[in-house]
Amino acid sequence: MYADPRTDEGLMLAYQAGEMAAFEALYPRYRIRLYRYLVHQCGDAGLAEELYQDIWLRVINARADYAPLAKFSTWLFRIAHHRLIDHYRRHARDKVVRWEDCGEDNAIDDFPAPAELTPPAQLERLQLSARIGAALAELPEPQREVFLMAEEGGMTLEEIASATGTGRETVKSRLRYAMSKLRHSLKDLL
Amino acid sequence: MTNPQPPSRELADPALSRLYRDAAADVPSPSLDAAILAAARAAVAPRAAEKKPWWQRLSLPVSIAATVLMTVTLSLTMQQNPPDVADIAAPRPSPASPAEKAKAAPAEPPAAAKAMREAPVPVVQPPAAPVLHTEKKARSAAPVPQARDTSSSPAQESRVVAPSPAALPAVKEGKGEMFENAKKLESLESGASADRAVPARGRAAKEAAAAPAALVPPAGAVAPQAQRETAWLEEIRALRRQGQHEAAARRLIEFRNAYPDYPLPDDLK
Repeated sequence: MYADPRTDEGLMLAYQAGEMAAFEALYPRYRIRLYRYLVHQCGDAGLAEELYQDIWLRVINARADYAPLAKFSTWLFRIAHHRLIDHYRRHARDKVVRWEDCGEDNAIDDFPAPAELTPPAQLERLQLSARIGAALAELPEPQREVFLMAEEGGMTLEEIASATGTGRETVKSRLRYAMSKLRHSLKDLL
Repeated sequence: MTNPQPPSRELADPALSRLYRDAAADVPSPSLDAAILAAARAAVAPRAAEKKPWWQRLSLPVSIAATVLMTVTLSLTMQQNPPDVADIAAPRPSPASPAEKAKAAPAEPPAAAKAMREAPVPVVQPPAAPVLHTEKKARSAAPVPQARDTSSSPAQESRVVAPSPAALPAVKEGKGEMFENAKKLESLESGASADRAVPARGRAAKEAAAAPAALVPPAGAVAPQAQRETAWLEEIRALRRQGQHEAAARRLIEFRNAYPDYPLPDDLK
C-alpha cells in the first residue's frame, strides 16, 4: 500500500482543504494507538468505541480551525484527554476526584499488586493482554494517561504536557511512577 | 506511520514497552473505521449532493414573482374599473326616488312619467268590487304611481297609468315646465275615462276595469284619444305663445314620436 510521505500535520492541512485522500492516509496512523489509549483508559471496549468515534468526529468537525501549532498527535490526544475528562465528569464523578486529587508522591510499595498476578501459572501468553490491562487499570489515571500517551502516541514530555495541560516536570514524574508500578506489577514477565 | 519513541532516554524501558506492545491486541472494528471514514468523506463532499432540484430552488422567487404579478394586475384592474361606491353604499331607490329621477332628466318632457314608469309595479289582485273602489285601493297600496308614458305609441297607451299625487309634488319642485306638463296630464287624466284612470301599477285593476261590462264606467268618463292629442297640441301652442320656442319644439318632436301618423295643424308644421 502506498504510504503518503507527508507529515501528519501536512495531511491534516490537506484534509482541511478538502482532500479526502489525506484523511485516508492520516487515519491509519492513529487508529490503533488512539483506540488502545481509550481502551486502557476507560477499561471498557464498548465505551472505548463510543469515545473513539466521538473523538474522530470532533477532529473532522474541527478541521476548519486546525492550525499546525503543535504536532498532530498532541492535538489528537489533547482532544481525547478532554473527551475523557468530560466522560468522567458525567458518569464517574469519583474518577474525576481521583484524577484531580492524585498526588505524585504515592509510594510504589503502597500500591498493592493485583492478587491474580502472583501465580506464575497465569503468566501464559494468552493472558498477557489481560495482565497488561489489569496493570494499567491499577494505575492512577493521570499516570496511566501519561504512560499511554508516551507509548501509544509516541509523544515527548513536552507534548504530553501540552496535551494534558500540565507542566513538563509533572508529566515526567507521573511517567516515572507509572513505569515503576508497571515494572513492579509485571516484573515476572519482564 | 509515526513510530512511538520513548519520551526520554532516562525514562525509557524497552522491555516494558515491548511487553506492552506484544500484549496489545485491541483494534477498532472495521465498521467503526468505515463510519469514521464516511463521516470524514461527507464533511468534505461537494455541496452538489445537497443541491435541491431546480423547481425547489426556484420556488421562492417564483412565488414572489407570482405575488407581485397578481398585485399589479389587481391594482391596474381597480384603476381601470373602479367600483361604483355610490351604488354600493346608497340604498335601493325608494318609492320617492322616481321624482329625483325626474329631476335628473328634465329635458324629456314626460320625464316624471318616464321615471315613474321605471318604478316597481306591485301585483294587484283583480278586484271584485267596482272599478272606482279598485282604483282607490290600488292607489293606496301603490306608494309610487306611474305617470302616463306620453312617448309611447297609441297602441301602448293602455299600459300607461296616471301619476300619483305623491309623485307630483316632487315633480313640481323640479322645473316649471315639467310641473306644467304633469299638471296638464293630471287634469286630463282626472277627467278621462276609466281605463285611463286605472290606478298605478294596476294592470290587473285596469284589466278589471275594462273587462266586464258591469264594471265599465260610464261612456262620458272615457277620454277620447283625440282630446289628449288636442291638449298636447294646445300645450305646444301655449309654449310658443309664452316664447318658449325651444320647449315647444321639443314637445312637438315628442308628439310626433308618440303619434307619427297624426296630421299636424298648419300652425304647428
